This record gives sequence, C-alpha cells and structure tokens, in this order.
Amino acid sequence: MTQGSDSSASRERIELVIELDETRDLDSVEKLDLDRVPDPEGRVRVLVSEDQLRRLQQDGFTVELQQRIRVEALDPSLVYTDDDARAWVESRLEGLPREREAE
Amino acid sequence: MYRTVAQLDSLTSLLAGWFPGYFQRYRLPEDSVEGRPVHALRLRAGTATNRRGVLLIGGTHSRELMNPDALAELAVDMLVSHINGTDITYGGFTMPAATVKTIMESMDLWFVPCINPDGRHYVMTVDDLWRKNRRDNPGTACDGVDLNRNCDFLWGVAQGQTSCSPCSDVYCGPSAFSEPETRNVKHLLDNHRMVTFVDVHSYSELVLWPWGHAPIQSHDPSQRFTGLPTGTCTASIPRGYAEYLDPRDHQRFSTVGATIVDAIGQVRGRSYVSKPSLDLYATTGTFDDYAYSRHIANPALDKTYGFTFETGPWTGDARTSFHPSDPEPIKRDTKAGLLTLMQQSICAVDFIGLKVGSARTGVEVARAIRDRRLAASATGRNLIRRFEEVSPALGAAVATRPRFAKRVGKLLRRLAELADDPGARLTDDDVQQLASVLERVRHRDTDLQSVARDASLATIPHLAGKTLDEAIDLLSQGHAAGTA
Repeated sequence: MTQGSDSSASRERIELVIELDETRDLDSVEKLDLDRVPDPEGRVRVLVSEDQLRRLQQDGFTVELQQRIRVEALDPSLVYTDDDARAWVESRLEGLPREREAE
Repeated sequence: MYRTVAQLDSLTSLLAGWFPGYFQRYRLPEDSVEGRPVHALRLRAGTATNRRGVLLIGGTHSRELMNPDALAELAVDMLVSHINGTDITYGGFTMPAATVKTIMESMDLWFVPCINPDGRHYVMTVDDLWRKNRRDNPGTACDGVDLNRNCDFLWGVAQGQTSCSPCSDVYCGPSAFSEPETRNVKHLLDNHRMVTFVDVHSYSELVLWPWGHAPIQSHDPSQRFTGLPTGTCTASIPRGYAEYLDPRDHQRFSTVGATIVDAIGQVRGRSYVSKPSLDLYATTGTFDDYAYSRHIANPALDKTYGFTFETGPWTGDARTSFHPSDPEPIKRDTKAGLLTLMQQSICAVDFIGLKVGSARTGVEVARAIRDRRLAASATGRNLIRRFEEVSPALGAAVATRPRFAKRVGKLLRRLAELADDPGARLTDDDVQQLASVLERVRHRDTDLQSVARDASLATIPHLAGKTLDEAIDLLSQGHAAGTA
C-alpha cells in the first residue's frame, strides 16, 4: 500500500501549536507544507508526523504539544449500521405517499 | 452518527425511487479515482422550467464527516415540508412551509452530498484524519490531492495553505481539474445555471466567501486575478496585491452571509462569523473562489455566488472537532444556514417570470436595469440590497397569492413595453399601479414593509411623464426625494 501524506504515513499524528516570532513567521511555517487545521484563537495549529516534529524542532521552532493521535479508522460506534440508516429514512418518511416503490 | 458512502448512496437512491416527482438522481460523468460512482440529487417541485440552480456539495475533505449527512438529511426535510405543508424547525429556527415551497418551486436544488467517496471510505476504514482524495501520486510514496486546491482559479500558486508537494495535505494536484471528483463539480457548474454554490466544510463556525488568495478592494477593477500568473508553485502573488470585488457583489456576500449567521444563531445560539475566506488562511484553487470567478474569467458565463461553510465549533482537539461524537446539533445549525442560503438565492422577479409566463421579457428588462444601471450607484445598490432582503418574502407572496402575482406580472409587462420604446413615457396610470402594489405590500406583509418604505421609492410619484431612462436615473440617484 502506498503511503499517505507525511503526517499519516507514520502510525501516529501529533497535534501541536507552533509559536511564531520575528524570525519564524507565518510565511516560514507555510513553506513547510504542514497540515494546518483551524485554531480557535487563530494560532498555527498543525497535525504532523514524528519526522516533521523533529524537523520543526531542528529548525528552531517553538512548539506546544497538544496530543498524540493514533492513525486509525473512525470509531465504528460512530457509524450507522445499515439497518439503522434504513430505519432513519423509513421513520422520517413514514406516512408520506410514495409515488412509487424503489426498484 | 455518520453514514457510510454506501448508506448515503442508498438514501439518495431511495429518495429518487420513491419520489421521482421531486428528485432526480444523476450519476456524474466520472467515477472517483478508485472507481466509485458519484451522484447528484436534484430536488424541485412544480412544473416551471429554466430555473435558477443552487449547488450544495459536501465531503470534499474526507475527515469533515458530518456535512454529507447534513446535506442528505436536508433534502429529506425539504421533501417532508413540501408534501405535508409543514414548517421546518431546527431548535429556535423556523422556516415557514410557504418559504420552503417557494424555494422548491422557483429553483433547482442540486445536492452532491459526498463528492469524495474514496476519501470518506478511507476515513471510515483506515485513517479518520484523512483529508484528500485517494489519488496515487506517481513517483512518490504519498497519496492524495486536496480537492479544494485543485480548481482552475490561480491553480498552482502556492500561497498560504496551498502546495505543489504531493506529500502535502494541501497538494493542488498535477494540473487544474486533474481529479475526476473536481471535474464532476465543474460539470455541474458548466451545464446548469447555478446562481449559488456552497461547499460545506468543518470546523470553525464560519461562513466564508471570496476571496481566499488576497485581500479585497473595490476601487480598482483592473487589479484582477486574470492578470496573475498560475502554476508557479511559489507564493507568487505580489505583496500588497488586493483583488477587486465588485461593490454590489461585496455587498451581497456580506448581506447574505450576515443573514445566514443570524439564522444559525436562532437554532441554539451559536455565533458563526461571516467573512472573506482569506481571514481563515490564504488559499488558491478552491471551489468557492472558482465558482464565483468563472464569470470574470469568461464574461459569457452567468455569475455564481460562491460560499464555503465551516460547520461546527472547536471542541478542544482536532479529531473531535472534525467528527464529534454527537454531530446532530451541528447538523441542525448547518441545515438552518443552508436553507437560509437557498432562501436568499430566490429572485422574486425571476420567480414572477416563471409564474406569469407573459412577464418574462419584463424580467429580462428588470435584470438589465439592476445589473447595468442601479448597480452603478450607491443609492441604486442600496435599493438592490433592500429588494434582495425582501425577495424571499416577495417570492412567497407571489407563490401563495395569484392575484398579487398577476398584478406584479402586469407591471413587468409594462416595463418591457417602456424598454421597447425609448420615447415612451410613464403615465399617471403606470405610477398609480406601481404605488398601489407597494401600498398593498406595505399593509399586508410585515416582511415586505421595509422595501415599501425605502427612501428611494419616495421618487415614485415624480416618475409620471418621465421616460424609462429618466425614471431609472431618478431611482438610482434619489434626486427627487433628496436622498442622493
């Protein structure tokens, strides 16, 4: 299997906030092509791999580690079963005169 | 709870199968990179043809899971409202059944709940923070193109959060529209008259609109993206550059955005913010900018107002912000916002043209006056804004009161006659008819009263004896009413 982007190729992502200063500004972060995600305070929040984190530190960026996240499938308990998905639509449309039955 | 790709497909298939009078389901021209079909669902009621379209897409970024579900569920909610004649209520937000009816009978609503089925499947089976599609990038160990960087709008300009590196999560792809998933969206924009487009993302509680690549300015029309190089793979937009945004469109984006934010706030008090995309971060090649830019890059195309929603709040970490364990409240916020966007896309004058066939020429004349004359002055733009604010209510009045629709239709026919003969002058009867319609509006429709009171309309008694040209000048400048 081919790998995903840098941050998902490893078994773990790291969520962190990069502190900007006069020498390490937003432009210098953007050049690193990291997976930036919205931050409630407008800070530079990214999801990175261990390698990317190491490079950031080697380049002198100050980072604030938020959490380590295992690369894994969505929690199956968050996904509808086929029966539940069908029951949802049946209940929402209950009593409505169908123009025809689905093929 | 979230639906799988197969469950989303099943839902749209059932709707089209059970209610073919409302839904048509289209397999888009291209399957996804991994060979999955991508479907669009068109929702409409009534028999009118040649309608305005609203295109709503979701699932562009795979990990932003709740939006495909919200789009599919919204189609169901609208169907139920139309069949039962019931209002749609989400928390403290209510859209009256008459308004839903007007939306469905005046426009075509195009839903593509999940434009990126491969990505969604991958999120559910392998990596729940996957963002891109599943393109195999040759010669690299990295997969995926960011579909929301792949459009032909300053494609390949690595500004801000856009990259030419295949391993980046914001990789723009090897060329503009290199991906079948983005070409499918382009196909819909190319082949249907979409007046509004929205790409629904998560998270941050934002309603975004152009531009994403540079700050906005509205004074120098010569400074446009069409003069900027593309495919540079560098941040090549000059420092200090600001992109022109037509003042009328700026006003419309701001007004519609504020109305959406207000509607979402009614659901449960969430405070969304409406602003240009750049305020989130700089981007190129995005869907909303592309949709809006098309008529500028090619003036033969109709204008499409492009929006991006960023649904849902920050929950304390990225994973649960992208797919919270309980997305239901966020979906209700989103659906209220999308319904309001549709409502704001109604053009009452267009709708009258659909309802009263003989008024169609008058509709064309009214549209030309709006775009070529009123839009050129601040007073005229204010009049357009006031009219657009009440357009949904006017549309509902037209939908539910045939006699009122006939009277407005008659006015539009007279407008066409006046336009046809530049020497013709407005008669006392013309002025009386116009004043009488406005008077009716003033007394019967609370929602419409603001337009009937607009200061610019104080010029109306002074229009008798004027040519149409002179009358438009008066309305644009408000001279007679002293409102210039």
